[in-house]
Amino acid sequence: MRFKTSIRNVSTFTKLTSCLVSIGKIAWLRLDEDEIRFTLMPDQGVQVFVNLSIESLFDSYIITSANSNIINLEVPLSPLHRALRSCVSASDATLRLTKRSSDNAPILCLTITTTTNTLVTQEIPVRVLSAASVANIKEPTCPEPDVHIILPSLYSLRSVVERFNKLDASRIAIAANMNGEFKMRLDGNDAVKVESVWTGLMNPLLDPEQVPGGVENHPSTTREKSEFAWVRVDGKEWGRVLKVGGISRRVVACFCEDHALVLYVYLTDQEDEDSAVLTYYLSSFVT
Amino acid sequence: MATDREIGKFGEYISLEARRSRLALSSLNSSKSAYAAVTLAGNRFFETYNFPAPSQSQDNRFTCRFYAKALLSVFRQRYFDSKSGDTAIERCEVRFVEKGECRMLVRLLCKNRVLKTYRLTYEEVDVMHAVFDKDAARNMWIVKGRLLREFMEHFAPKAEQLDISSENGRAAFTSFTEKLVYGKEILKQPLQTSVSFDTADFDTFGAEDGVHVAVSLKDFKAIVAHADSLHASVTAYYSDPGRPLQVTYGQEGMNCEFTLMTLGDNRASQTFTTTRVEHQPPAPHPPPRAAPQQSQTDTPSQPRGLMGPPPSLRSQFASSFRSQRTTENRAIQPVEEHQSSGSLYRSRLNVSGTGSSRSASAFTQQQEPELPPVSASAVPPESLFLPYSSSDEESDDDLGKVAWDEPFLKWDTNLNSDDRPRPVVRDQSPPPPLPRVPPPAAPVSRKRAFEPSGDTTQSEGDEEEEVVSAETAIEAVGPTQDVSQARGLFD
Repeated sequence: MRFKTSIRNVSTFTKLTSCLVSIGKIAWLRLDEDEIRFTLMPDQGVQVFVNLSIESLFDSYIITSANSNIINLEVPLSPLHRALRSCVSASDATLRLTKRSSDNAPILCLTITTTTNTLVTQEIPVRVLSAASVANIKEPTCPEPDVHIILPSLYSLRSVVERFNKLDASRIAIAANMNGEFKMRLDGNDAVKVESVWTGLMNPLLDPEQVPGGVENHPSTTREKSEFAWVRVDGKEWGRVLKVGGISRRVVACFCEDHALVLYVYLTDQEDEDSAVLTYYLSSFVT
Repeated sequence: MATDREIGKFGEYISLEARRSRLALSSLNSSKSAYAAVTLAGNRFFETYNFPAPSQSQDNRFTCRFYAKALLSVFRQRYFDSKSGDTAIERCEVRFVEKGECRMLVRLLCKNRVLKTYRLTYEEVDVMHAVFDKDAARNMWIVKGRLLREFMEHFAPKAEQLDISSENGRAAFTSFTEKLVYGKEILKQPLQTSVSFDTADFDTFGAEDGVHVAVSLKDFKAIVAHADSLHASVTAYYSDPGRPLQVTYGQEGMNCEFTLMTLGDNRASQTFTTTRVEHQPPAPHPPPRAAPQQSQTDTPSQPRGLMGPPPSLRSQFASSFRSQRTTENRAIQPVEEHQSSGSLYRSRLNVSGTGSSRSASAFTQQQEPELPPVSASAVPPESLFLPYSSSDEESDDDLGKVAWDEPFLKWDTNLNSDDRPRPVVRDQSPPPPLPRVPPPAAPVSRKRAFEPSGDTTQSEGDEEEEVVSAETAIEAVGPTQDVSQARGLFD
């Protein structure tokens, strides 16, 4: 088992880990010859699935393993993020899987050479997972979305959510329709009624090849255009999810009414947007 | 003000020692592994500094200590206030009220004619200083605080220890954590960080290759942060693992000195023990010179003075009883037999101060008549500790047998005293504990639970080691309430 790479895009990697660290403590990192996957499945709350092409983060990437060159690791996110923060003034950063000399524990060793010729080594403790132990980890299945919409700037959403949370840190009801409208409302508090509405947003077109029953039968097409689809999420959690605004180029939200909210966060421009995608799954609370 | 905060990170109490020309603040942490001292020059650091001295030739001392939280609460917020506009501090006056009150009066004259006054209780005690022998420290380096501060930013906050070493023109700071973890817990281990850089980045570098010393990362970080805030260069002196390391820096009348005990690894502890056996055979008999100075009839006999650790150390010894017995044996038996028994251990600084002569204090005359007779009698002249805590009375005396088997930092209350020669103490370890000797016929008052502690420096008239010149017994506590008793106020 061998993994060694130099980090090409320290800033993206650091921003990515900072988003993930606010969602969970430990991630499953799956590395193979084509892509990098981070999976966060905490016992409750948001689940995050990250798919990145090798080139979006790494350079001079070497991976070998007995399991058809796939390596599965359990990585603590907070140390990983902290280690990456040491790379700020790095002229070169290398990440490799190795064993700690003192106790042979597996580590991800991040070696940083700074511009002042200082050498910083950060050793992140990891656990190597067997192929069998990760075989059952799959993305959740959702019904076809009732509404899909491109979200406004997550930064502006987040500042609104923070105000909501200051008023009453409980649930926030989120809704959108196929008419380019999106709203958030403080939920479950009868004393205060606050609602923010965004209009003139875009509902992206569906790719006919991706829709099994045909676009004309898709729930989002058959639905009344101005009818809102609602989901209810935890306000604090929603606020943490929106931190991803720091790296996102475009965010598509898919509403499965009263069931779930799925966010597709694209980190790259549209022409190359499959190379780096974060998928967030938020379950809706029942009213 | 910032200085106070730095010291406050180390110990529970802050001691203060005033002299004609300077003011010294110091603190020792609860595990006795770190000591901090800041000396403020009277004429340079302060606008006005007045400490009455009978004459130019004589130097008075006034020593007391504060509960650290209380002292900090006065200065900490003020420090931040001083940066904001409205109540910026323009002047700070500190005055001591002696007359039976033991209060320190702090007046802060702020902007807009706001005047804040604080009264703090203090406790008159003798101040003990860590003795560090620079001559024995083979390794020394000086480096800019700024550079160290940048390095420290790489280290995870939870990492415990910092190993300092050098090899082939590169110096390395490496963090590590001793706690063993298994299974899934392994992912909760703090980041292990190593920063290596060219020794040419030091202002001066004179450390041997391959010497590894480890200190508490938290302490070191605090020191570095303070040094950087003063834009000072940091000087470090050290010898071997298991021996203390001293860090000093200073600026504009402020001199900061930190003595940290370093961690010894397995191999180092063995070599250490070997040296100790060579240098310091057990000294079962007290130095004869101490005997005539016993003024109290019911003072415990001298041999008892060698047996126990001071009460304040007992709880620590209690927890590490087993391991210490092991090391104790090792001191006597051939070292090789115990190769497997060694493990990483944290040494403690030793306190071997003596009650300094109260006649040198300006306040003695007022105190003496009020002394409770029992405390004076319970304190043997060579005692190393002041009877300051009532909780000490409940300590278990049996643990006194386990003592003095770790490397020590020596302590001396008279270090800065001008009327005696500066004691030179090698940081070598004291004699191993003696078997417990039955108390002499003289009744020993347990009221103060003052276990005579080992006179760590006696070695049959060796002039070099004359730190503990047994003097008048410590006059216990001043005529005021113990700070420790008043603790509830600040908890």
